[in-house]
Parts: sequence; C-alpha cells; structure tokens
Amino acid sequence: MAGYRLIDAYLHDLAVSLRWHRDADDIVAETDDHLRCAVERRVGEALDADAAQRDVLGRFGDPALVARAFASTRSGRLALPTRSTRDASVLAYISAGLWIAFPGVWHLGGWLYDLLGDDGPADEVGSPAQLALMGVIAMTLLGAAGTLFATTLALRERHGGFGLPGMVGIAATGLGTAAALFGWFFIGWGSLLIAGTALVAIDLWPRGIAPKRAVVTTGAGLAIGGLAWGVLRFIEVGSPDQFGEYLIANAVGLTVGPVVLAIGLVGIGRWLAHEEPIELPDVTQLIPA
Amino acid sequence: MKSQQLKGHLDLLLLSVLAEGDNHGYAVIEGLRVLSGDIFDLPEGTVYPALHRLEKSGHLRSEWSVAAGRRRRIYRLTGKGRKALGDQRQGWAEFSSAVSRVVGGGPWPATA
Repeated sequence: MAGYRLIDAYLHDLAVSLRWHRDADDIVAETDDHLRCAVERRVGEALDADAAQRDVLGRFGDPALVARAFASTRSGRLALPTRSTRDASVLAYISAGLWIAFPGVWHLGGWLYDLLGDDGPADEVGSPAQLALMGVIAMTLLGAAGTLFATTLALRERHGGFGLPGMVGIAATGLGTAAALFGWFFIGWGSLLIAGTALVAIDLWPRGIAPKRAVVTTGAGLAIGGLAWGVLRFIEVGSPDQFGEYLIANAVGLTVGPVVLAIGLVGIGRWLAHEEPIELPDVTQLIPA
Repeated sequence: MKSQQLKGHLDLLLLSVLAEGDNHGYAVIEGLRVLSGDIFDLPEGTVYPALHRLEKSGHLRSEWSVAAGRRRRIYRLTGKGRKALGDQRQGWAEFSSAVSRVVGGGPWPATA
C-alpha cells in the first residue's frame, strides 16, 4: 500500500527486533494489518496520512517494547537468545559426542576388563589397567551426564525460566549426574536421567520456542533405551551371566537410549548455535516518565 | 488507566471481548477501548503477546484470512476459553463487590 512510509519503516524495525522469534513473520503480518486498519480509519476521519501514522505508531508502542513483550514470560523474565545460550550449543554438541561414545566405551571397556582379569594380576579391586578402564568409562559417563545437565540449564535460561516440570527435571538430571559416579548402577542414574530429560521436554514442548523434533528426541531418547531394556529383560532374551545380568538387554538399552538422546542434543545444539544473541533495552528506557 | 493496573485483568478483558464474536486483533483492541469508554489505554502492541499466550494455552484459536489484500488473523474463543471466562467473571464479580464494600465509604458494620 503506497503512502505509508512510516508504517513500512516501523514494520522493518519490528522485524529486526523480532528476528529471534520463530513466528516473527506472522507477528509482523498481524501488526501490518493492525496498523493499516488504524491508519485507514483515521484517514477516513479526514486526518492527514502522516499525522495518522504518527498517532497510530505512538499508540502501538516502540518496536523494542513490543519485541520485549513477546519475550516476557509469566515470571517476568525474558525468553531470549543470549551470548551464553549460543555458547551453550558447544556443551550440547560435546554431550552428544560423549553419549555417542559412551555405549562403545562401556561395552569395549567391559570386554577389555574381563580380558585383563583373565590374564593380568587381578585381585579383588582389579589391576591398575582394569581400574584405569573403569576410570575411562566413569569419566565418559560423568562427562556425558554433566554436559547434559549444563545444557538443560542453558535451555532454562533461553526460555526465561522453567515451570514446575522443568525445575523437577533439572533436579533429576542433576541427581542423575551425581549418581553417574556409580556408573555400574545404571538403573539408578538411568532412571533419574530418563525422568529429568522427559520432564524438561514436557516443560519445553508447549512453549514452542525450541525445535519440537529436537525436544522430543532429547526427552524421549533415554526413555526409549530404558523401554527397550525393560522389554528385553522382561521376555528374558539371551541368558543371564553369573551376576544375573541379561547382557543383550543391557547392550541394547545402553546403546539405543544414548544414541537417540545424542541425536536430540545435536538438534538442540544446532538450534542454539544458529540463534543470534539479542539484547533488548530495558522497558524503563522506552516509556516516558 | 495505568498499564500495570490493567495487566492483571487483561486476559479476562480479551476473553470478554471475544465472547461477543470472532475478531481480529485491531477490532479486539478497539472493542476494549470503546467498551471501556476510552479508559483502557495501553500500548496496543503489548496486547498481541497476550492474545498469542491465550492461544498457546488453548483459550483461543486463530485462523488466517485475507482482507483488503492483507493477511488477517482472526481469533476465536474455544470451549476452554469460554469456561475460563465464566470462572474469571465470577471471580471478578466477587472481588469487585468486596473492594466496593471496603472502599465505598459506607457505614462500618456494627460489632458485638
């Protein structure tokens, strides 16, 4: 529509202020309709087009103020990409890498441990080589869980805080990370991390900020592994070892879960990395006293 | 009216306007202004995040149409929104009645 250059300039500024928002195009289109409706009404009342635009834009509010209103959460915090949330993408990538590596380290380490036990000078606590292997397995798991925990904290910042499910999820993920110190007790750390990642995903899903596919994959990854383990364990696939462990169930569960989780974390990492950090001015700077 | 005073009641006001019929954002805001006798005057751009939030929470649904060659988003009250409106109206009636009794300047009730 010709003649409404102030509105065009305003819409451009709004699009810039909202460039971080997933629905920016729709918001700008809706604003465009609102502003032109309002100007047309005023022009119809014999107001000069420039005066009408200034009046309408003054009533609508500063673009940065509008963008800030779209970023405000119920808690009053802002859900915006920042430098730290962008940098946290590295943590998500590292976590994904460690979760991918973990099944291999776990299975290979277990196999080597047994091999060293047969040939080496094993005693009750294991040989130095066996202890080193256990250390590698533990550090891989601890690193994977720790970076997963840090990623959930970054997601909390990106969303301007979590609700109750997300906060409980963070707590469970933190406890799961601590429980990962006892790596062999995978039911313990696994259950906590399953609950933690699922609850964080449940909190994130309705907000529609993070890519939904990555949210679902991250939230369901370990649960899928746990489910696979449970089913195979229930129908007793394979035969138990001397400790009563069903190795096929363990192998499938401890591979499928981490791999699916890692795929989700790559999606989260990619999303965080591609968001340009935004710093909106404080509202008090925008509203005249 | 100060934006802060209006903020806590914005959802109720928006749902009330949309209870009168489906409408686009500008018409909703105009309805708010006209029905309030120009009392509710806040930066109009900040109403849209509230409409979007109500849609996300399932109280509203929106559809895009084309009007005057422009894309136009039409909001509609859902069943959940209608129920929430009923609850909020009742809460508001009780609250406003209580406030009126306190600040209305009437005689103090007799005490034993």
